[in-house]
Amino acid sequence: MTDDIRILITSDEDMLPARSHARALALELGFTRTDATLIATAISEIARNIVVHVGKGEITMKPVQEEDRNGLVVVAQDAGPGIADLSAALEQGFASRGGLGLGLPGARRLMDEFEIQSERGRGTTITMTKWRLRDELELLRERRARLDGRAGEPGSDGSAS
Amino acid sequence: MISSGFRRSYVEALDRHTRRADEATLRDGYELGRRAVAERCSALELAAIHHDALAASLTAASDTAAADVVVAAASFFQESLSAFEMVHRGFREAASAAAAERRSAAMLRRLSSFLADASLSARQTEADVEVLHLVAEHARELTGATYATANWRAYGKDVRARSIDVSAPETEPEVLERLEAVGKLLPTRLSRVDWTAEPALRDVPPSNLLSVPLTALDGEPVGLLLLVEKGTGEFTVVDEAVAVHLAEMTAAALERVELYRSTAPS
Repeated sequence: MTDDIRILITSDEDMLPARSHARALALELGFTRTDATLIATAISEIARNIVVHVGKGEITMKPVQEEDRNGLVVVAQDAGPGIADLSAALEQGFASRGGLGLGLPGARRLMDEFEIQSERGRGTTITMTKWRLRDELELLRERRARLDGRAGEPGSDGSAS
Repeated sequence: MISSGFRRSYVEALDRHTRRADEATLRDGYELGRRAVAERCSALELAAIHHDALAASLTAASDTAAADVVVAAASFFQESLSAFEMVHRGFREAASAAAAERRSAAMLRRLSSFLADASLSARQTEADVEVLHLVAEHARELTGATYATANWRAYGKDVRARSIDVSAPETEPEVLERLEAVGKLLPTRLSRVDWTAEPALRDVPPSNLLSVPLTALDGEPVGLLLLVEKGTGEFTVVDEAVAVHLAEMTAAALERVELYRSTAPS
């Protein structure tokens, strides 16, 4: 499985590698093309937020695998002034674009989980996750592959010496 | 009405994408979608612009490349619609919040009518218990709390009622009584972080609480409405306002019950 991917965000141009890595990782994890687009969009929104409000930050993304679901976790960190009123920042209508619900609220709505921590003068960390439920067929194939692998291991036929 | 500049930008960007698709051209699609939302373009207008642009790209493409153009255009269109998806989800969220507010308002109206009902005083000897129970139940539902208690200590009485979410585990009554002791005279809101810093609650698993005193007409505290463990997030100023309103209505209703009892012919 892919290691953590870390991307420094200092300008709008850095949105590109962040988007393309996220899209590739999403497709690798079995997300649909539509979900991959939504993840790329959410990442674009938080990257834009870093560039516009702080100027510099970092986006890390990594896969998580659980028994019955795969996830893509995105962590965006900056060392900016922090957000004074978190709930206002996450409400639709706050900040830019005349209250259309883009930006942070938009990113929150596109992902399944969204957590934000901010401290005045110390920066902001956003952690957001998109999940994909694994279907029965996929789980069955994986169990079979595991059993096949075990059958090939030395001593798996009970003839340990 | 969408600007002709936007149309031209879209046609050019889609054409670039169908000739050489990469993340940069997809990003252009996303940015155009964002711009469309900001310019108040409707999804129908964007679809029409996209199809015109696609027709232009197909005209320029050879027959063999036509299928590739259509596939690439679909990805581009999806990118340009992603901003609409964000806005649409926002509208859905706002609509369900408005529906929840309407439900809350209806619930408050029903409770207000019940507490203001003159027959409450005359109806039964257990009126105060019924009032406290109803208030605890409604306060819990209106604020999203898991546990609620309401008590009334006046006129030589000590009456209390509890309401617990059906899916929540029972909690020890002593724990709730200890929590009642945290807030007494003023409305108190404790977040999970505040909770861990509260010396009196150090050995109680962290949660959050909202407590509001029930106050008699002369200003004396005569009871408490306590709400514990909000299911989602922390108790808000709106939760506090609702709880204060309920506590005021409750105190007035219970005083009226007592007044009636003290003056009614035996």
